[in-house]
Amino acid sequence: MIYFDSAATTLQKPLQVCEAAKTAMQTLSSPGRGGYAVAMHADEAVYDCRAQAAELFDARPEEIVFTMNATHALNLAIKTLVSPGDRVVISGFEHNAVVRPLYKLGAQTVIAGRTLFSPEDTLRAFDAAVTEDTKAVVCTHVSNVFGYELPVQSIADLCHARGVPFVLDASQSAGILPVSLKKLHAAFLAMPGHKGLYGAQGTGILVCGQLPETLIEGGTGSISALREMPGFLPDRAEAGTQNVCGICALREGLRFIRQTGLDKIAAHERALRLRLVQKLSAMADVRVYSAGHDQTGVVSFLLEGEDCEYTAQRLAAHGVCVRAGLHCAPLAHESAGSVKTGTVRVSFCAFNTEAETDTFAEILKNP
Amino acid sequence: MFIYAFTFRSFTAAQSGRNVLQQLGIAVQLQRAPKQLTEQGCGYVLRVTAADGAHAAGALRVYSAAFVQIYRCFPNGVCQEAEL
Repeated sequence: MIYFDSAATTLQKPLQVCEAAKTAMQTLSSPGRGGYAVAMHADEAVYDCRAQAAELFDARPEEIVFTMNATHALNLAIKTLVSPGDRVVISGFEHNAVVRPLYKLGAQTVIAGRTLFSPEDTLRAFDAAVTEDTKAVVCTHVSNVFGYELPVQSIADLCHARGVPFVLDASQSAGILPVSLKKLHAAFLAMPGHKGLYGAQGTGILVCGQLPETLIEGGTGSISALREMPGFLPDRAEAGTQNVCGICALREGLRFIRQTGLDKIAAHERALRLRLVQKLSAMADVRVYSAGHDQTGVVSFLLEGEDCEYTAQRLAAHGVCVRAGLHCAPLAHESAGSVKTGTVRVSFCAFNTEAETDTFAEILKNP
Repeated sequence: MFIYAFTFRSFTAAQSGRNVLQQLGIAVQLQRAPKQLTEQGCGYVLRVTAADGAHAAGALRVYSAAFVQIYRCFPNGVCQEAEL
């Protein structure tokens, strides 16, 4: 099998990630509840994961909230900042995890920047769109469809200068590119635990630059006599029993990233993307969405005259795993002009190889 | 003889406070707070020796570790509010 769908979820995980989940399931009870050894050990394990995340994202452990996934984290962030009718600026490459909550809220959504691989155009568009009555800016760091790396530091600086809260969707950048709560002056950073952080599905992180509103209320193991949810982090946003096995797995994923190094991971994935783009570009009748810059290890392509889902099926028959269609991001496809056809997306991880990339190209060439 | 107990509402805050004290070489124990010390239910304490109390209090304040109250706790289980 050749797995090229890490933008959906990383399948190849460091061994210690899987071991940690198994060990947790066998040895840890519920954190923040009992005072006996296996409960306190669970507390320590969860805190250690918070501390690892805090180091990576330039925050304090208390500012790390564990969520079910990035969608949950984004919903927390968006529903804290946005009320019905509020003006919100988003990029032209947002995932439905941003678009749908804003639609449900009845926000006045303004789309800024729809040109692929043009940070200048994107920044110009945000500069024009972010006005004094903008309640929030929500922006993806990297497009999940095209791998386009948006100029989020410049956008964040603009928001900071104008007093507009900035939310970063780091779903495709966490564990690959530097993401700093402080440098971005962000209200929130949202990310999944199971993609570039190599953790388990069912985990995500919301890094909080401010106190979020609650999406769900319940037991937190703190100030239980009060009817209100706690007014402090992380308890305010963590009602109910946490996914301890998932958090322990995520802890090992974070350790792996810190030991390997973001630069090395990013360089590896970009090199594979470059290699693939070169091979695809040499083939007849292949449309490749790449400009050779401002792009991570995610790339979309389309074979002329072949439905993208047929291409993906054909590849699957050879044991190659890619995702086709709209990738839960129709807005990104509208911006790139591919909403009618969809695309086939290849997304690399730290464990993919040049040999796999070459084999992929051969399979594609010889149907 | 007594020990000092610093109460926290949040386990995460207590853990962060504990790390601060450990990094300064202050011996500290983190436990669930006795019910008598938690008006609002379910809290945590950092316990340090009487000799380390003032040093610990200063360090926690510098780090802005959100402790709620300081108590002197005696072997017979009685705890009194204290100021350091």
